[in-house]
Amino acid sequence: MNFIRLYLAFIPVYIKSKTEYGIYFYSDFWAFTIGHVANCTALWVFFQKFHEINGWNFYEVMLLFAFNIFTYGIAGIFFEFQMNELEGMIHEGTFDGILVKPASPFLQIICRTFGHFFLGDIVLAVVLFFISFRALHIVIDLQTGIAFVGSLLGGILIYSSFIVMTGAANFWSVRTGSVARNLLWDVKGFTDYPITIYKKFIQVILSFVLPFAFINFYPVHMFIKKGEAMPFHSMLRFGTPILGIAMFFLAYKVWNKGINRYQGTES
Amino acid sequence: MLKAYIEIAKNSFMTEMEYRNMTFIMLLSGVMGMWVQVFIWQAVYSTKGDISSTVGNIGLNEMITYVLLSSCIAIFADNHMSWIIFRKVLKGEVAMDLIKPINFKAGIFSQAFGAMIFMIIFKFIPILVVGILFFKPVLSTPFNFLIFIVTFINGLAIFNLMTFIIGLLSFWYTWIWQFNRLLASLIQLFSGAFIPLWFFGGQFKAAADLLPFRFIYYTPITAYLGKYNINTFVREIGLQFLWIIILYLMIKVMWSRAVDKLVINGG
Repeated sequence: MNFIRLYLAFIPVYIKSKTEYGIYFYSDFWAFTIGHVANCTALWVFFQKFHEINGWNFYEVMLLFAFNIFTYGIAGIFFEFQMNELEGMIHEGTFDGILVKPASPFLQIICRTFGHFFLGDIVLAVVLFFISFRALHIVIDLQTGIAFVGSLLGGILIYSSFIVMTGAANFWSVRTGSVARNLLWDVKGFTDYPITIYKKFIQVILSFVLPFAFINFYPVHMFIKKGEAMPFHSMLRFGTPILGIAMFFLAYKVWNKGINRYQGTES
Repeated sequence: MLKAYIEIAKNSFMTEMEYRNMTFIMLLSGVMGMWVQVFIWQAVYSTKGDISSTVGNIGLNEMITYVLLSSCIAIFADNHMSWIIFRKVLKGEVAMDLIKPINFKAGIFSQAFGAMIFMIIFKFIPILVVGILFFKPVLSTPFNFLIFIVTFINGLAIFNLMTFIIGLLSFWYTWIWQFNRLLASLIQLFSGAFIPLWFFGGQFKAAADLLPFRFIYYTPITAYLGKYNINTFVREIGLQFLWIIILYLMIKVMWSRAVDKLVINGG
C-alpha cells in the first residue's frame, strides 16, 4: 500500500520533469502511436477490397487489434522501458547499487521510469474499442463488462510476464533480454489476425507455448462469434485471467531466481 | 581520395560484424514477418481463384512472390543514415567531421554502405535462400528482372535520400526518432510494402500515386512480376529520377543552412 502511494506521487513528478522538454515531450505521443494508426489504416484499405479474411470482417479484426494494443500499452507503461533500463544497468555494472538498498529490487526497477510513450496507444485502443463495439453491436452489461475487464487484466498480466521474464534473462546473460523480447514481439505479430488462418502447429504455439492467442483471439469469442467453433476447446475463451495470474506469478519467480543467481559484471 | 571512403565503409562493416552471432535470430525474425503475410494471402485466396486488379488477374503464387520481394527490399530499406547523422550531431562529432578533408555527405553514405554490405551477407542472402526454398517464387524474364534491378536501386536511392533529410533535421530538432516513425508509417501505408497498390482505386490509390513512397516497394516488384508495359516502365523510371533530383536539391539547401545553424552542445 505504501508503495502504491509513493508510486502515485512519483508519476506526476516524472511527467513534470518530462514537460521540461516542451514540444519534444508532447510529440512523443503521436510519434509512438502513428505506427499503429498506419497499421489500422492499412487494414481498412485491405478490407475495402477483400471484405473478409477467413470469415472475419474488418471490425472483428479491429477488435483483435484493440485488445492487443491496449493490453500491451498498459504492460509497456510499467515494464518495457524499465526492463530496458535494467539491461543497461547490468551492462554498466550500476545494478549492484540497487541490491544494497533496503527495498525490493523489483519495485526499485519499476519506479526508475514510466513509459509515458504508451499513453497515446491507450487512447487509440479505446477509440478502436468504441468503433468496433458500435459496429458489431456489442452491448456491455454487467456480465460482459466483467468478462471484458477480466480479459483485459489477464492480457496485461500476460504481456507483463513476457517483459519481466525477458528482463530477468539479463541476469543469466547480459544483452539477451532485448533480443529475446524483439523475437517475442515478432511472434506476437501473428495475433494481429485470427489464428485460424495459420497452420495447426502455429496455433498450438500461440495457444500453449507462447500464449499470445489468449490476449485477443480467445477472449474476443465472449463478445463475437459466440456460437462458432473455436480451435482446441470452447472453454479457452474464459482462460485469460487465470493464465495471466499464473504467468505473472511464474515471471516473478523467474525474476527472483535470476537475482539470486546474479553475480555482477565486475565493471 | 576514394581510399578514405572505402576505409570508412570497411570500418562500419567491421562494427556491424559484432552482431554476426545474431544472424540466426535476424533470419528467424525476418522469416516470421514474411510468413504471417503469406498466410494472410493464402487465407484470402482460399475462397477465391485469381483476384482481379488494375494490372490484370493476380494469382496466389504471384502474391507470395510479392511478399518475398517486399521482405527482401525491407532489409535494404532500413534506416541507417538518419541515425548516423543524429549521433554525430548529438555527440558533437560533426564539428570534427567538418574540418576533415572529406565530404561529409559522402562520408555518411560510405558508412551506410558498409552497414549495407553486412546486411546483404548476413540478412539478405539467408532470407532469400529460405524464401526460395519454402515459398517457391515465380521467376521473372531477363528483361523484367533488369527493370526490377534498375527501379530497385532507384527506389533505394529515394529511400536513403529521405532518411538523409530526416538525419539533417537533427540540426534543428533533437529527437528525430519521431520523424523516423512518421516516415516508416507513411512507407508502410503508401509504398505497397504490405498490400500491392494494384488492388485499389479511388482516393487511396490517387494519394499513393502522387507520393514518392511507392517507388521503394511497389514499382520494382511490379516490374519483376511483368505487370508493366514499355510506356509505364519509362514513366516510372522517369518519375524516380525526378524524385531523386528533388530530394537531392532539398538536401543541398538544408545542408548549407544546417552548417550555418550548427551549435555544438559542449562536444
